Amino acid sequence: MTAAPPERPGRATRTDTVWARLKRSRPAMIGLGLVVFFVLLAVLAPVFAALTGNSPYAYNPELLAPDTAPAGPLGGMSAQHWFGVEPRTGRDLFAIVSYGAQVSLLIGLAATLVSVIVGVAIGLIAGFYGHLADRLLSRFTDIVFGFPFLIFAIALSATVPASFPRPLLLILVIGFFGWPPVARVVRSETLSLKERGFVRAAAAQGTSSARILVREILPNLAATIIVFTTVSIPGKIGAEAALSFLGVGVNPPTPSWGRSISDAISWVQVDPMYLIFPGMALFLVTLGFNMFGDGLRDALDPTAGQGPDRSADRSPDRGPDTPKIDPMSAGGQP
Amino acid sequence: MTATTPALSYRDYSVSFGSRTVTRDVSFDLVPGSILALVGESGSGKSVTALAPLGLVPGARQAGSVKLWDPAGPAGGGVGLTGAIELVGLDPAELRPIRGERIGVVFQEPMSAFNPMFRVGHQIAEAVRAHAGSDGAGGAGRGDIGQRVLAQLRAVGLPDPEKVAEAYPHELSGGQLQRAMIALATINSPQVLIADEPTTALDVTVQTGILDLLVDQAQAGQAVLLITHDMGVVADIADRVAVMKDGRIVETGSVEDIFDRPASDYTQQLLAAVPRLSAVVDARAPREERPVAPAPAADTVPAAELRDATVVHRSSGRQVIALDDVSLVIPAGRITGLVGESGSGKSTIANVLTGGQALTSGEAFVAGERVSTRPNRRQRRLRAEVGVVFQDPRGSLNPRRSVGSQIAEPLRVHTDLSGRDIDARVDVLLTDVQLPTDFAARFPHELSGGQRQRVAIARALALRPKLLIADEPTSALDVSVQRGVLTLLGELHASLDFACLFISHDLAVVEQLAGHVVVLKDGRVVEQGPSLEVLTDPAEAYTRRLIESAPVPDPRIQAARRAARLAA
Repeated sequence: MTAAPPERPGRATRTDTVWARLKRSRPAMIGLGLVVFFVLLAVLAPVFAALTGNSPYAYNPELLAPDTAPAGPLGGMSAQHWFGVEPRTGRDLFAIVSYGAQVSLLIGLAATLVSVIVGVAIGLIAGFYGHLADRLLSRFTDIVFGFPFLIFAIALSATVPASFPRPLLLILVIGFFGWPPVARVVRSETLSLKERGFVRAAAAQGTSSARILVREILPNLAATIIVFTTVSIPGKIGAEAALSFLGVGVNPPTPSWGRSISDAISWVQVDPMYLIFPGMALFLVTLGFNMFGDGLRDALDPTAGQGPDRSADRSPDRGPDTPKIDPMSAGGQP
Repeated sequence: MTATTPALSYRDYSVSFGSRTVTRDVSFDLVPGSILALVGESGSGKSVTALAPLGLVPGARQAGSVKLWDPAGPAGGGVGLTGAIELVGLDPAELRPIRGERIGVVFQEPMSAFNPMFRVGHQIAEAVRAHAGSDGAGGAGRGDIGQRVLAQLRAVGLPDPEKVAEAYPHELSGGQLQRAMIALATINSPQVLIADEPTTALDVTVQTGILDLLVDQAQAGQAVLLITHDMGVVADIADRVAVMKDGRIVETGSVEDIFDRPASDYTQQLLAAVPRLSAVVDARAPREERPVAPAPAADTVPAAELRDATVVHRSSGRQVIALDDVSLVIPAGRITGLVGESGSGKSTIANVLTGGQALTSGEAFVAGERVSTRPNRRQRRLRAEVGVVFQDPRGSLNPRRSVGSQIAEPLRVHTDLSGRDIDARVDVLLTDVQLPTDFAARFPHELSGGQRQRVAIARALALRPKLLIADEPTSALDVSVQRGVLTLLGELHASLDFACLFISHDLAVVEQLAGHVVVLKDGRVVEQGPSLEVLTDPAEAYTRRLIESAPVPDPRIQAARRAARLAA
């Protein structure tokens, strides 16, 4: 394949304008800030642990009052334990939240990746080839969409042997149930793209279907896919937290926000901080991804204009419309 | 026009969006009983000029004055200024009783102007009810309104008004809907009727009827503002013409003045760019530059051929016959024109030849090889013999790839050329279509419509195909741009020697380019032959009707035709 050097400058200016538009949106930048903050928190968790000497697995019974609630005000906050300690065990809450961020982000991102890859592949094939392929794949999409995800996930975690790595199981389960919305949007965009002149011209000139999919259609879906990915990450993180909350997530003692929240509910009267820190972390990271995803959608939206050429090109129906995605339903999770 | 007072008068009217001024100092008068045509190419500000005073252009900031005169007021009394309403600066609540009641509007696309969820009669009645309160006729009963709607539908030339009133928009044809739209716009007898490209989306044979209807409206005493880009339509029905360019009126005058003695350079260019059917404009002798080509040697393979080709679309039990037993030959090395109205099967033929549509029965060949919708590797390689250019300049190029890489794509697929050779070939192709070679690095959104079509032509010709299929390549372009693209196609054909299937609804364009023409109607070939013969002396009534419906940019010819048609 010969590289096409002239593509460089154009593409660079395009990303520049997207970035410039993104920078102008305050919510998007706040969202990006939150996302970066939690990514850093997750990546640097071992560093913090080394600095403070607090491991998320180390019990500190000496920090607990006789009723096993943390001793001291605000859940035992101190210079040593920034978020206080966990009731009953005395583990450092900051370490739990930061290591929990690793688990949440890893599972959330990997599950999103799985669902986007499956969804794009199925949507492209169904939309491009049509006919029987479309009918089969679309029905399959409907079936997965209608499947009771939670019950299935709970049942699965009871039957899969304990030797199977838990995070991998969660990634597969959440990812597999998350692709139908992606597939539907990609399918419908492919349907309209394949009627466009440049796709018909390529087919008429003897370009193979695979090459048309990769070179002509996929680049035009890129914006949609990027936005869909960003907006569905929080749904996946939420799904992991929900499963952990229900006791079928990652196995203890691996820290998890969902399980911490579940445990903290029975302590909320005595030690509200135990609920507030993991809860806030979950809330802020999903908020961050949602705000960033919304801003990204606006910035990539071709109807928002594409530089100084707008007056010559007044009709805005260029490029694929990025669909409105309901973050609550994104991923098909409850 | 001494005694007539204007119904609507524009004075130094300007519209701007933010910092961008789109129209500047527009002045003209609309006089009851006459049609003023506002002509200009896309982006010249015609529609904005007409619709912004009515508050129908969101975000427009207006300056200057647009006065709506009271029909009864000043004419006799001489109290010249009392009966006028200044539209600029009115708030939406004050504009509402004016829209529809005193100024009616007809839009370009009748399909989208009606709400698909309601019956047409109901939507017209809505227009009556919306204004019933204001003129004291509020007590009009349901039955009265129904009767009024039916009478109005009959008045716009719909023979079966009960059926139309009961129909949903999708059950009617474009022409019927546009008539119904005019009925809706005029049911409250407005003084002014604004028609924004009312026939652009319609076939020529339907267009004639709609234009007649607009003439009737003007004769009934309305002031009609006709917005159009089609000089033929202007010549047909306009009394006065205002030519607009880049937001300014460059010339105003009577229709005879504009066509016979255009004062501004722009008007002259615009008129010169309009393709004309020689059959109608003058019966000139066959032009020598397009000789009737020597009959191709018997052994040459035709560039493409259809034998008894039939295409039937089945959707939910209904059958639609798109192509009905069509046989035609596109000889190698020559341009064949394919004309017909929408739904005649023109594009279906293009799809069949490019392998995008399977035949229900019959056979299709390109360069002697049968066309398949599911090509194997060898058949795909044969498709290098075909290049295609489609209508929509926006959709014809991939917005995410540079122009150079798109022109190079067929070369990468079908040849083993090195990167440098491909770049060199792209440069040659860009030069061939008269674009600078540095366009290779540009993206489609940086190009104008005409430039995009040139790029699409370059891509289609990259592999030196034996057959170029051009499906309405210029119908989305302005006439001046269209002329450049047509000239280019003719020159390329002369130098590169490919066969071309040129599909168009515009007979004049086909005549200009094609030596041989095929006329289609409802999926059947009506007539075919050398274009000079078919388009000057058609054997079939349908072809003659097509030729006669296509408006010619000459007011005298149009007046004569109109008189002849009305007499008949």
